[in-house]
Amino acid sequence: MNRHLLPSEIDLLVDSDGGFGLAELTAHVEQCAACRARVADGRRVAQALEALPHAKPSLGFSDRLMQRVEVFQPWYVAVWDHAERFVPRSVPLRRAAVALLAAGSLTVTGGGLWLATNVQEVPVIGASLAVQGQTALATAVGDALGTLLGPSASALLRTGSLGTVAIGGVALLSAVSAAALGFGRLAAAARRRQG
Amino acid sequence: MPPTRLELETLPDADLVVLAQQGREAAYREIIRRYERPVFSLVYRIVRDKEQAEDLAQEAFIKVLNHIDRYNPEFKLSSWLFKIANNVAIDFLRKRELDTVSIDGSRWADSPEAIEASAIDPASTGESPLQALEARELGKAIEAAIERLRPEYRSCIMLRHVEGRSYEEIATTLDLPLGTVKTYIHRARKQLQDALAHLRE
Repeated sequence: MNRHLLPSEIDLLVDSDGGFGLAELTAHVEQCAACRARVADGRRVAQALEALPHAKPSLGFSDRLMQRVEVFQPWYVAVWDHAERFVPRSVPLRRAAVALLAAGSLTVTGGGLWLATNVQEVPVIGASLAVQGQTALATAVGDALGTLLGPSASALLRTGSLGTVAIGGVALLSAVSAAALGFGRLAAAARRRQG
Repeated sequence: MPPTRLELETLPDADLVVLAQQGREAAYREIIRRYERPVFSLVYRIVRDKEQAEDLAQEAFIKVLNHIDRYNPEFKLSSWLFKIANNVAIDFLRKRELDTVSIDGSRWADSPEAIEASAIDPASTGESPLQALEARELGKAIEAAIERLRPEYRSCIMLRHVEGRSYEEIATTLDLPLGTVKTYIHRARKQLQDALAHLRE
């Protein structure tokens, strides 16, 4: 090489300790005092920069930061996390849960098949079950509303028709749903705040 | 089951981002733990004030973490973070119209303690007193010279030599052509060399 190194070539030598393609440049530097001085200057600056102390933030930086970050959990992750709580941790318990689920599924399937093959029996059984169910529902709803609204509401339901029971049941269900929704929103807001 | 802290520490950045996108608070904290020092360091070197640097570094993290769902896995998380941090710092300087900041302390410091706390202390260890003095002189001189660099040069030279990023990574991080990055670094080095010339003699 019969010329001095270009600035980009000096930078190449400053950035590299050696390697393919630099042999010619390195050989020139060994022969040329001027270029050797320029490379030395460049390396001196690089070393001084690399020796600069690393700045670090004050204690509590991450805690203060997390208070300002909005941690958002998608609904499907929340549902999965909730369902995962009911999954047993130990393997034997998990096997028992799977067995129970399988038995339950077989029972429901068997019951459905029986109903399908004994269609003529269904109305008789159904009517009997419906009357029993209505009585049980009226009693349950009456007790619940009685607890909430007092004995007069309970008495009204006991003497009232199926329609009155239905209205009372819808009212109770609405109250319970609103409470559940409210608690759910409070929990989500708390989770966002804590994030 | 969410991963433990030990498992999080070994996860690559891309997997950590996926967990953060699922709302795992531990993943957010791990991202902060990994990058709080490099991000703060970069911002601090640009704006030269610890308090402001903390606020700006937090702002950079908030911009990234509150929009973690927009992360593009084609790019490194670190590049995205440094890019936002650099932009936040440069915007701050432009608004404040700062060209130089005293190495002896923040211009917003209002007490001797605050001035001392905000001053840059380029101490070195394991050296003889003379070496320590020379290192201190060199450190002070280079800190002063860095402050006189244009902010764009400062960003490039810090990412190259303090954060150890390659030219290509710097170009991606700062959204600059590779040639521009090489030019900025070359000019920054030239200015720093000139500033240190008196020490060589």
